[in-house]
Amino acid sequence: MTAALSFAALLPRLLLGFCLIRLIWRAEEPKRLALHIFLAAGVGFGASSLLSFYWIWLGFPIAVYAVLESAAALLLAAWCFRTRRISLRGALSFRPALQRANIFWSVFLMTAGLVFIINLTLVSLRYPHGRMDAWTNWNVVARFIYRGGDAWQNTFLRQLDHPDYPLFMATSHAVTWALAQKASTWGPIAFHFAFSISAAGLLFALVHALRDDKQAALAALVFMSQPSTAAIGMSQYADFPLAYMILAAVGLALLYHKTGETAPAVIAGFLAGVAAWTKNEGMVAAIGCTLVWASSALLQSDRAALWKYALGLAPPVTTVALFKAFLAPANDLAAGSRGIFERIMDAERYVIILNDAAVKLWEVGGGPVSVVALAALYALIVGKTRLRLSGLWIPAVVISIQLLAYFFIYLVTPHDLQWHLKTSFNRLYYHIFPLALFWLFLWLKSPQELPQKER
Amino acid sequence: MRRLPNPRTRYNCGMKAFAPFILAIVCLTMGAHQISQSLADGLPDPAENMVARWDERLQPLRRALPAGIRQIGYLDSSMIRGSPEDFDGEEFFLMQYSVAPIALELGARQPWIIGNFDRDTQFHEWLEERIGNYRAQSFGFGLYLIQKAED
Repeated sequence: MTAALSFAALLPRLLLGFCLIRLIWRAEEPKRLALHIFLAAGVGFGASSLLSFYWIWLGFPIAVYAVLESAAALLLAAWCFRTRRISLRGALSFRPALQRANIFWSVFLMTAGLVFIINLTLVSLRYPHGRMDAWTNWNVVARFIYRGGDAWQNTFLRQLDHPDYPLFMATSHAVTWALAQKASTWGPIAFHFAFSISAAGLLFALVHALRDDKQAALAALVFMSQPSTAAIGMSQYADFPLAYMILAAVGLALLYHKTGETAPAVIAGFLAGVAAWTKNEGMVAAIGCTLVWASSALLQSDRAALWKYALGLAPPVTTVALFKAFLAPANDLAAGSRGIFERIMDAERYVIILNDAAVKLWEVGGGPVSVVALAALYALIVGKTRLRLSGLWIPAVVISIQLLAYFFIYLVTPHDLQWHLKTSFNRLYYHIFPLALFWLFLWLKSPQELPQKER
Repeated sequence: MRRLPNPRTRYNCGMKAFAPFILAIVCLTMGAHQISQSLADGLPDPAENMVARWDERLQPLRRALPAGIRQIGYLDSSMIRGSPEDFDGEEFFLMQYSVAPIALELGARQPWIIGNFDRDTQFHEWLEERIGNYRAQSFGFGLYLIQKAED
């Protein structure tokens, strides 16, 4: 019962996200509809988290917010139906698009989806409270907010962990618990389940929008089948939602680059900002995404797109700035800034970090066969697509900025370097893993491109 | 004149055509392998999870905490013995998770303190020396809720 309630408690926010997207980005093609569906989690939970944060900061109870927000989401959905911004005709048109796909690929994709759901379920049964960082850094804050009432700010008095972490997940879980009226482990489980499915769906929808259905199915299948995807997805850390935000912001940048549609710019800006509200590393992603959006818009002399992007980016980035300025204590990395110069000049640290980076890269998927080796071998066999797709530099730039920032953080970390690498590197790679797959499968020939005669 | 197809080219084309299917099958096998590994010890029982059991064990202590306090002290055996290298960080974080929304503060500065001691720890003398009179309520498993007595 609590499980069902917890999943049901997510629906108003998913609906809210979907309606907001339909209000901003009116497009009836089936390919766009899939994008709208899988972007709904980021937009819905993002908007809800920002608003609920301001609500509790003003001293109002989270339970009242949860009810008001759900009612508003339902009213908005009813209005969208009435004004035909959401129509069943659009939803039905998605089916023929799926049916056109090869039967093999449909079966493969459905099997991968089933395997993924089973793996997600097994991880959540084994770790109902999530892995260690979930209960030391993330879900514990949700408990402060839900159980603490107007004393929720006691969370900033916590010792030995990271009370400066942003509140995207904490407020989201607290709203779920308020609706379910119980601080059950099912709240965070339902949230991470929704994000895991949405990340896989978003990868599919983006490759589908920019390439074709078979390539999209293959990309989503590779992503869902990696043991690490389910393990990190349901560890209840912020890494997976962050990976989703990065994929969404960059994917929409490519879509804009290809089609010139400016409506997704608002959503991309918003999700890049929510990345910073999800995890501190998301600030780097927000900077990277903003740089590529700005470059892309300026290259195309399209200031309107840039303004729209800024319009979406402003609310979450302002919230992060206010949170950091007025509530959050200093970050542990920033607090240990003494001796930075010595650490930067220490050549051995470079060797240790690069060595660990190579080992962890090889282990990214967590499976018995390295996904990096598989991807490299596959790329060698099928080769680069003959299609011309502009903007492939965009994911490369964002990935490079993200990796360079992580390298620098390890270089200057005041913590024991070996410990810091051991406890975080594999998760950091996952921030860019869906984006890297997206980039790879845009670059490669799709199964559809392999000529029939050659078979 | 019609050229005969190069057998090597045909082989390469065949490889290319089947490569996506092979990749898909290898990945699906990995996903399925993960399921079988997870189920090797049977279906996981959420109630048997270490954090779940800890959280359950902490419920009586949580209910006994006085209303309205923002922070509570935390002592463990390493502090009593004066051996900080033995401090159990994991139990500290588990305790913080369970007693939220009250923030734990290391040491005995607060009027209320949670004691998390192992069986051999002689904490009474240490407490008397540091905080004077106190009341300690035991919750089993070495867990105590300690209240400094008002003079």
